[in-house]
Amino acid sequence: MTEITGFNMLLSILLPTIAAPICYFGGRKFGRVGNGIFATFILVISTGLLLASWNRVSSGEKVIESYGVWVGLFKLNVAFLHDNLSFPISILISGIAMLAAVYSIAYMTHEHDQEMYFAALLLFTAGMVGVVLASNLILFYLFWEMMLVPSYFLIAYWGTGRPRIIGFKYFMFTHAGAASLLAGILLTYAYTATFDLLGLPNLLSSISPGMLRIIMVLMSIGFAVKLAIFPVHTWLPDAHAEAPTPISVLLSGVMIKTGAYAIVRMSITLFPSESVKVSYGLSVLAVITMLWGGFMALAQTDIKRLLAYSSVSQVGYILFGLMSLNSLGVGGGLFHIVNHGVAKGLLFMCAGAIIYSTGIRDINKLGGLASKMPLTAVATLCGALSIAGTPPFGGFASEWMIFAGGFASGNTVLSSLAIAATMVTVAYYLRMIKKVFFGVCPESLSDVKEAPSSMLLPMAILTFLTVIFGIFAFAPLQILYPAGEAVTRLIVRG
Amino acid sequence: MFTWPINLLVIFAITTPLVYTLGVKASIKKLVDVWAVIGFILSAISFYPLYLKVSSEKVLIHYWVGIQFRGVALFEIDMLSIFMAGLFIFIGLLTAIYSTRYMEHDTRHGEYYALLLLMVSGMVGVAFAGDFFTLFIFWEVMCLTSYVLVAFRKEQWEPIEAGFKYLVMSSAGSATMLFAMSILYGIVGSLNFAYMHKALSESVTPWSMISLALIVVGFGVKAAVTPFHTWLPDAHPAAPSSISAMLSGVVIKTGVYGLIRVMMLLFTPESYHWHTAIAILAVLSMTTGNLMALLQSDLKRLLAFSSIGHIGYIIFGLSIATVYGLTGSLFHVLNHALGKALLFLCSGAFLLAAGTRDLNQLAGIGRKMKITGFTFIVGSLALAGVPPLNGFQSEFMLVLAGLQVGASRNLWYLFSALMLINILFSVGYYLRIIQVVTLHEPSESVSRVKEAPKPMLFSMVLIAILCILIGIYPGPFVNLANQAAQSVLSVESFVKLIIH
Repeated sequence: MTEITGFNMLLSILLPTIAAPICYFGGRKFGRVGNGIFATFILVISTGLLLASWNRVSSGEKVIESYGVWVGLFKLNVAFLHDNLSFPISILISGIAMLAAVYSIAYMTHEHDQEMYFAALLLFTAGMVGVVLASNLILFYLFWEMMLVPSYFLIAYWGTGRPRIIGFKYFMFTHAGAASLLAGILLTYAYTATFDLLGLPNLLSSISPGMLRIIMVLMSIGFAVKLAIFPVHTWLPDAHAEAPTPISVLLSGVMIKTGAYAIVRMSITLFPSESVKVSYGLSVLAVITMLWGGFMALAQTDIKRLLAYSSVSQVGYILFGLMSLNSLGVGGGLFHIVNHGVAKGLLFMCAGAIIYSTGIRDINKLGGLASKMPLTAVATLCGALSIAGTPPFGGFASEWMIFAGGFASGNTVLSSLAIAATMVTVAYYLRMIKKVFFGVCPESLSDVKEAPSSMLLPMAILTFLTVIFGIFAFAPLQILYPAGEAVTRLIVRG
Repeated sequence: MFTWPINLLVIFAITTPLVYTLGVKASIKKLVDVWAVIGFILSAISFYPLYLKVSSEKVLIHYWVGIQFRGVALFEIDMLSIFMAGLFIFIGLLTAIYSTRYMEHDTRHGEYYALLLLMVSGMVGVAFAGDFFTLFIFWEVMCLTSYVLVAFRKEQWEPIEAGFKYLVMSSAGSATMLFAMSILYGIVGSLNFAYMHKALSESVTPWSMISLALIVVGFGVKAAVTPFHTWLPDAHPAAPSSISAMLSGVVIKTGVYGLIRVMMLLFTPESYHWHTAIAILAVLSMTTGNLMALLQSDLKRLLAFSSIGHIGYIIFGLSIATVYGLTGSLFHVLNHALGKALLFLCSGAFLLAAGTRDLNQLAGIGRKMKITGFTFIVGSLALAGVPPLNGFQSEFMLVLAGLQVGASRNLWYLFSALMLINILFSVGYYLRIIQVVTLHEPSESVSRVKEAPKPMLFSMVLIAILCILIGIYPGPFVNLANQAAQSVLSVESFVKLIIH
């Protein structure tokens, strides 16, 4: 295990980390545009490096890169893992981050300290990619917190409203979750004497069921906070609404999904027998989350806050799919991670474009923008319909799988409720679109123009993807579905 | 005579006033500052061969009076001594470099550096001591110099009051210790650690229990373990910031060192079963420290309370008394020393630039002093136990050791959970100081501050880099702590060098 087997994954994390201080110190000289281009360039390379394992992953292989001993005392190695589960999510993260970096160049025009902004953005991305690639629990936890710190500064420094209070709330909530996660990780080590994710499943069978339950619950609390499941979701609407928009894209689009990833990777994979016992309870929570987020979104007038509540609602779908514990549902949940990541990223970018052009966030004060900003209008519509589960967009394919999985696992009532929740989704999105893009355009907005093309480009790419993932859903599913199958196979055995 | 690292420190301490006079006469302003820094550097250099020798021979004996007299007046140097002494000298060096600019506006530099050098030599001596006689001599050297250093700015009232309180409490602690030593001498008939280990671990008597309690109080006062901590929040903020960094960073660690040495070697856990009592003291310390820190509005006072909290974590590792527990404990000694020294040095830089320690008036100063602000963020996050910085590595090790031992001593599940909750609380105030210092709009009182001078930045940036480095690649540093912990636990090899 100690010999080094490749550098692609290590570099994909290390490059943004090393580039961050360069961005910071060279920032004054590069200027805002140079900085943004530099950050984008780094993220393009890191995405490319991640894509290198495409062939091996799609043929069902596990790509493990090991770089030798890290802390000898605990027999900790540094190793990264790409398989059907981590590969697509890592691509999603670095891809969206790349687009967000492009988007930031124009969006951050009026902001201060851009050199620090891009440095933090790079570190944030490195942390998220690291979480997904980590192959042992301590490395996982390290990256888990590494994505918290830069994102905290991004919210607290460049946020709107009352950023410091909101940042504080965000940090404390997530950190409390992380402390619970840490307790779970350390208890695991105390009983099995290893942190290695691949070696753990065999060792955990020796632990008494009671302790296994405690460990699983402790870990899952940490993931649930990140995922913003109903009782611990309150940080999300604040943080996602008040963060600078490109960061909202990353927070809502990909960061919260690391929680879903971790639930599959750890809660289900490591504790299959225990997750069967808690699956019903978590499904109920998932449905509550869907409905709660949906109804709260209906009541919002702030466009970004509305989108943030919509994220709460959508992670409910993801969790519901995962907790059906059959290959259809888990596959659907994983696919919804991708679809929601793309669509919510798109929607936040659209909201950012509207705020950039008009300076207004209140949807009651907006109106009739469809003729002024036609591209943004189309993009918003595509994103909204995708999340609402309308064919032929990506969201339809994944939500269909989630509901099918729900019915297959026997939770008829809950699944029906989940389907009903999509009506709420449609309702709040159509309300938002009607208020923003149709109706009478206020006098003051008569000379509004489309956002600059460097902001429209990432939006166009994401719009394209929402359509592609709907029509050619089999392409991503080729990789994601086996991941769901692999996990559910453990359930049957357990 | 005292081995080279101590000799050099003492020699330089004695010659410092002369060099100062010389510097004044020849009107070379910085002569004495440079002299003191050279002293620390030479001491650090001479420390290296000692480290090599100990790491190959495990335990080293050195009679500092030259004759062998019932095992008194000797150094017994093992990896634990090396670990602690190395840390003392390193932080001392950085403090001296920092002081060259920080103390610019003060007078009496000759005294200042002489006291600083003597204090470090006392601390190194404590870490090397192989008997209570040696330990107490160096202990008092350290204590006396630190009283004077706390009250160094004697033209103000606050340092005098704090210094006096410190003197009274700390001397009471020393007296308690001396009393315990005299009882132990009565029981054993020697002051040597090895003889004491033999006698005390064989028979547990009420007298030995009493002396154990007295010793815990004595070292506990120095280490600021609750309920003996009340001097610390006064003394540490009142001292010049460079001295605060020494006091909070390393001087209180001599108390921890004393506790670890005496409790693992003389009052072995197998015979005296002190685990639970120490764990309760540890939890009390961390809770008091962290809760009180949440309430402070004086930056340095807040940091002082946070030191009490961290001492709680360190003592918690001692209460576990396994290899992992002690490794975590010693590793946290290192990490807290770095982090807290960094924060005090930063607050000194703020104090120098803005002339205030009040958090409300310091708001936004990190935006004006970007490098200091950045190191301040690193230090705070490191102490808050946020990965990938160094504090996390040792805190996770401590909780892990607690959970491991929980399988056999169930109470430790509770204690570990309490420690985790404490870490969470502590994040609250670290985040608050980060927000106030670096995120707020700059307030009026800091509108015209400038970045700290280069020697001060050097010390701060160096520690900040170390914090990040240890966090990302802890391997070699954990190994050092682990070797030290191993040598604490291998009592027999320590004893058999004296008693064949």
